[in-house]
Amino acid sequence: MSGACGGYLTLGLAWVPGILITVLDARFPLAQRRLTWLAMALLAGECFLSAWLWSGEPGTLFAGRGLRLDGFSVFIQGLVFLGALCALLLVDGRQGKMRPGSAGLILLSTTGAAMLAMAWDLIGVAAGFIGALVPLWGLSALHANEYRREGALKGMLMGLLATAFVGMGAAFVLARVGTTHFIGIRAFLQTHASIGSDPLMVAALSLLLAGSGCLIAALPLHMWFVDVVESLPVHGALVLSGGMMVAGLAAVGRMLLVGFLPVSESGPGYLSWTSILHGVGIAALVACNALALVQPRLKRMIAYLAAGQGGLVLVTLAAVGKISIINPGLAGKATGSILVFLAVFAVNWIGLFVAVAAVEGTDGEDPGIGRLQGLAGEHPWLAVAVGLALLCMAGMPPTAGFFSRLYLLEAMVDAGWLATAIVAALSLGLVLVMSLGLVAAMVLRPARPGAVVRLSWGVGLVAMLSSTAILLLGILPGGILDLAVRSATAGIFF
Amino acid sequence: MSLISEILLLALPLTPATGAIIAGLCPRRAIKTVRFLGWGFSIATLIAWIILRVILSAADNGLMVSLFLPWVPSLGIGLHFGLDQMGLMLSGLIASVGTVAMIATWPAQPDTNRSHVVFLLLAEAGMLGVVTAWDLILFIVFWEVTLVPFFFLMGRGPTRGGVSSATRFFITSVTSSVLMWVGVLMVVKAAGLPRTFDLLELGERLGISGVPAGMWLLLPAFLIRMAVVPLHTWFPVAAANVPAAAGIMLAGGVLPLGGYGLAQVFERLCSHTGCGLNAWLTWIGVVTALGGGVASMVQRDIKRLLAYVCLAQIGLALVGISFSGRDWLEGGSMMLVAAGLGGACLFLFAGVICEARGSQRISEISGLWRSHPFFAGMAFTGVASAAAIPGTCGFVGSVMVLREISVEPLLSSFLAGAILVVGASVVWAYRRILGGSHLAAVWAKGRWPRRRQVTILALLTLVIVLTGFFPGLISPRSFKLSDSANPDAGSQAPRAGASISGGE
Repeated sequence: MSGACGGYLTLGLAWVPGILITVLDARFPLAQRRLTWLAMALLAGECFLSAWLWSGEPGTLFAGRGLRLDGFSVFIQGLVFLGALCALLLVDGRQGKMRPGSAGLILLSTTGAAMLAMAWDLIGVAAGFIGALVPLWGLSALHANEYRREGALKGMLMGLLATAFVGMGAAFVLARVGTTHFIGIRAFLQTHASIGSDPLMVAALSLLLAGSGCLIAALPLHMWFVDVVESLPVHGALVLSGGMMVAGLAAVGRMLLVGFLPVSESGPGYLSWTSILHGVGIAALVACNALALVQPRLKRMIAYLAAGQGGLVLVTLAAVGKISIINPGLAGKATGSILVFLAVFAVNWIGLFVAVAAVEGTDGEDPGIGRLQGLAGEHPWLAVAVGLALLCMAGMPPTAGFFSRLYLLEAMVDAGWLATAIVAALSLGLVLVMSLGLVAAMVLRPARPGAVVRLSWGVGLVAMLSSTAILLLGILPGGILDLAVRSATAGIFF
Repeated sequence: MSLISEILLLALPLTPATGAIIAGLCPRRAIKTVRFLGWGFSIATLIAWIILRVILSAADNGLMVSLFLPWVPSLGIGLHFGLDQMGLMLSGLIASVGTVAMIATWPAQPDTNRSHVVFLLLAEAGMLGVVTAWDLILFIVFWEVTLVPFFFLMGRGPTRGGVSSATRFFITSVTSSVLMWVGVLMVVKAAGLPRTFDLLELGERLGISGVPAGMWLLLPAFLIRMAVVPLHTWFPVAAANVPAAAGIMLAGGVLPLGGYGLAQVFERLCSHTGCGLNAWLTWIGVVTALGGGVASMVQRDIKRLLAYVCLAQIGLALVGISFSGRDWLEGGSMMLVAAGLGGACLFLFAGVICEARGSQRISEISGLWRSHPFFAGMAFTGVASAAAIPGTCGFVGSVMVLREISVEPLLSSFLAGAILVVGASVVWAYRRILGGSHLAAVWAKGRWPRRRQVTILALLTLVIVLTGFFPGLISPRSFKLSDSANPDAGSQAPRAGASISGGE
């Protein structure tokens, strides 16, 4: 199979059936189960396709107008498809959890996220964000009650505004550079040394950072994200806070590290995206992790944590920008460490949503964290899976979280940002305190009277998969790092 | 022989870890099976250590046994396990204390039996992993792994403060641990390329004479675990609120482990000069010893009193480690072991009598001598060790530390004063518990202590006394921090008069 074929297939396999399944599901509600199974089969096929494409040469497989399929995008796509598959598995066969059209919308959103992973152009980034978000607004509206409608509306308004910012930024870049292609932008910036203080480029980069920052829930534009995650059903919330977050962070990383690398250096009167990302990332790390600590509801807590973990990635992206200047030899490994983190993040989020799916009531409302009390006594294996996911999020060994966070801290130390590394480490301490509090509630406290845990084979399977992955990646961390470094060097160059 | 010792080396952390996994897989109601597994795996760990000790008695100084397996070669991270003299002593201490806690304690609620065994075995595995790890990442992994089981062991305390003290311990430990991550990364970066996390190689490469930032980040982690002044506040609160098993493990394992980390990681990376901080550390040790002794005299809660006694002993150990960190660590190591054994003995005694009486106030615990003279008499060895009475390991450790610092008269005076105050405090408390007669009838009621508790206390007593007469039992020879992977590197002649071999 040629690379072009693979490129079209990864998008086409999800996009076309996504539309068909949405329409058929809405028209024939009785066939919902079968259509959901079809969607899951397609997503499983996409996962295998990604693995197969990656197993060859991870260099450029396909490069179209604004999209590029290479080791980097295949790596991210694999994570996105895996997340979507697990999202559907978590809710399959659950009365009241799936509305007609849900599975198709998940497929469509996944296509948008896959496009984000392949984006090699500013227009591709904007299109990917819109493609990933619009189906999720639809999903939120499908499960409508008054509160959820508000969340969907908020998400839609902010998402459109942010995408408009990205589009405007792309237009400014087009006006100044003559292209929105990453390579073209980079070539232009390299030959125009003073372009960093060019008002049009400054405006363009500001708009791009503000728009994409809002879409990946960077502080202070994260509130819509928290509300939308809370308003979405389990599968949609997982796709938004897990899959789309991973793809969005990867796309922003590629946009900055490929297209705007020449303006990563800061100086007087000279715009530098590294300093902006550095500040925003640190603020997100501290504020979002602290806010997660006081959330009474699971999905809101997870959403804040996602925003906090996103902040960690933003700081590391900034560190990679700095490393590419002071020690380019280490930049590839540092970028690989971000990919490792994103892989662990995806697996981790799947594990966290196992808890949400298990304790969520039939009304689909965001369950309170008190629902986890006594889980170890009632369902010890489920408690082990949830506990592992919580400890992984906090970076405790022997889970995968330990090495993934250590790699990021190493990148910060390599960039010479000692204070940043200390703040990042302390914010991880916050997460650890919160995680252990929840684990303690599961183990030490009795179950609440009337608390119901709903287990299905899908929840069990996903719990087993996520726990195995969390432990395996933690005990044997070398393989994923090598794979990530190869993927990073295939998709990003310094 | 080398293969056997390598297998035994790996068996030290892996045996309890395997036991924890198997016990975790047992049905919750299979209480007898779980107990059998807990006892079996902790005793097996102790036996593995004893065999290793016998095999290594003929080994040279330095790293006596070591095993390296690649883990993440691209980052210079390896599974480097090893034991030197200090590690051998500390691993013996942890294996003993783990066995004591496992056999002598048992939760009252049947629901918690399985998790009790699992967490105790995990804690033991983590601590033994710390002692055997010679790669900094492996060290951090085991260091962090010990946190979770301790949190749960502590959270099930007899008082309502159990969870809050566990949380306090956890927050202070987590804060110091995450700072240690950054410190380690900075140290590794300073060591240059090719990147390595191997402790021996880093020690050779660095030779740090100043105080680099990375060292400032490493230091708090060890000092918090040692609970030295002013980072000690978590320990007395925790000791007063946690169940007996956690108290034994904290006093007997966690505190000495902090001292081990300080000696093996901090001193080694600073080329055994403490990066110029050794003088400060010595004074911190003196203040801890003196402060612990004085504070113990005014306590009304027996567990808090014992906690301060342990602090005083750890302070002595810190003096031994930091003052002689340049050359010999015998005094500090011996004091760590003495503090661990004595602490375990005292907390076992306190745990049993507090459980029987239902109170921890010293004023409500008296008359024990009349009802249980044998049990109370055995506990005296722990008191004697804390009071540095001859014939106990506490005496040997204290004398060795005092001898090492005898060149500093002021320090020696303070330290001798601290030993006297601690001795007076603990003996006074012991007399109050034993004396009086109004509670003798109360003590006589009920089936306590259990036979296994008496047996374990008797064995612990025996170890304390034997170590007091023959210190060479746990430490085969006088030693120096192993300087390199080459065992011959540490085989220089010891400083005159500093040897503890042969039961001096």
